[in-house]
Amino acid sequence: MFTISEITGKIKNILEEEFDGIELTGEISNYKHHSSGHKYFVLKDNNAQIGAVMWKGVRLNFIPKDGMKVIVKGSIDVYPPQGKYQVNCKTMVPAGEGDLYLAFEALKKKLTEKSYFEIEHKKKLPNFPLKVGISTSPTGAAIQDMIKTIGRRNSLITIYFRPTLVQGEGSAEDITKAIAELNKIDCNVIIIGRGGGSIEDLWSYNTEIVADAIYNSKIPIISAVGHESDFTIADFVADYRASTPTAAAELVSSITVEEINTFLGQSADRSTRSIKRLIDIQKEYLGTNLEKKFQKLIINELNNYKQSLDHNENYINNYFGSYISLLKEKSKSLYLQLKANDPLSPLNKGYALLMSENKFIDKNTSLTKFDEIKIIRKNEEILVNIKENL
Amino acid sequence: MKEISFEEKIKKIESIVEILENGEEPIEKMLSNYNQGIKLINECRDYINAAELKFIDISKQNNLD
Repeated sequence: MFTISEITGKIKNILEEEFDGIELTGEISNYKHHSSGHKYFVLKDNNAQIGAVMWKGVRLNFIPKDGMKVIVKGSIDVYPPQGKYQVNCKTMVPAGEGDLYLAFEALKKKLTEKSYFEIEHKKKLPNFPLKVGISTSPTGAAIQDMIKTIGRRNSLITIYFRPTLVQGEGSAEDITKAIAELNKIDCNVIIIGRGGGSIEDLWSYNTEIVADAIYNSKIPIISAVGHESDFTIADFVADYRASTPTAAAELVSSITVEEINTFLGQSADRSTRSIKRLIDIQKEYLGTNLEKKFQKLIINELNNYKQSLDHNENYINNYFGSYISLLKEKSKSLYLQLKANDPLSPLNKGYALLMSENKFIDKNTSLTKFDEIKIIRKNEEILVNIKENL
Repeated sequence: MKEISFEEKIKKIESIVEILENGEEPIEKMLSNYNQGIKLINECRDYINAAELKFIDISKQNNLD
């Protein structure tokens, strides 16, 4: 006889041993994401159902929804307190294209609500990137196409290549790591991409962890996943979407070496023209303008001198003129004075002058001294002898 | 003086051409700008002539470290 615990323990051992590492497919119903982080739901088909749990910490690449067909891997667990068995899911992926599409729409809706796609979150692509980070498969055509395109258009660019798993298990995590590593290198821009494929092949680019990595990147990201017609969540979150890896390569090398060379040539020409024109202007200024100015200045100066000379001349003339007339005046009065004192003038009145030995005899000299004197009158001169002193 | 990047040189050349074409600075300054511009242009040309696409595999780089 078994106790309930004993029989339950035996069932637990048998079931858990027998059904370890199973893979099963079913439709999700009654999905609950508990606040503890564990997820509880039911997997069912048309005729049966089984409880399922996914413990916290198990990574999911999509958001499960009721009605979605999934494939899970895991084991059967028995929970003795309730006598229940359930599937412990270790991995879970959408089963078909339709279900992937549902998962895609669910994540798109969630990220739209978190405004991951808003234009204000988009970083500007650099005009002139010289360090380009690339995350893609090392074996596909995508990397070869990108290297060829960039090398042909702009050999100044350095490509930092991070070989990346682009599909299958662990690929979403590897893409996330690649974005982080390329951020550390200080690239100017990052291209994440891969060639075309089915929606399953491209699935990693529709996962939330890759969307988060793109959204949180400090460096602008160009997404180039699949063909032109393929759209992934990564395309929506990225700062720029290129339709193909080659288009992304063209975008980062939008300025070619020829264009830079042309720019350099034009800059040199324009500089030389400008400086020549400037020198010509200076020459002309020196040659004509300054010379004319100088001439004008000198003529002005000379005129000033002339004027001041004229002025002085006038002054001198005036001064001398009055001096001379003064002299004239003076000499006239002197003349009159002289004339008044002319010793001969008394002769007019009948007086006479007395001379001896050709000298006038003044009033103090006695005539007694002389034997002979000359008497001068107006119209005659006579010699007289002195006879006797009375 | 710190070596400036190729991109910064291109920007500097653009601003020098603008200054020269405006022609508002004194002639000595213009001449020194001109000389600097031509020097930068030649440096850029040398750089372009010497440059070829560099391809660095980060995973290999990490393995070497």
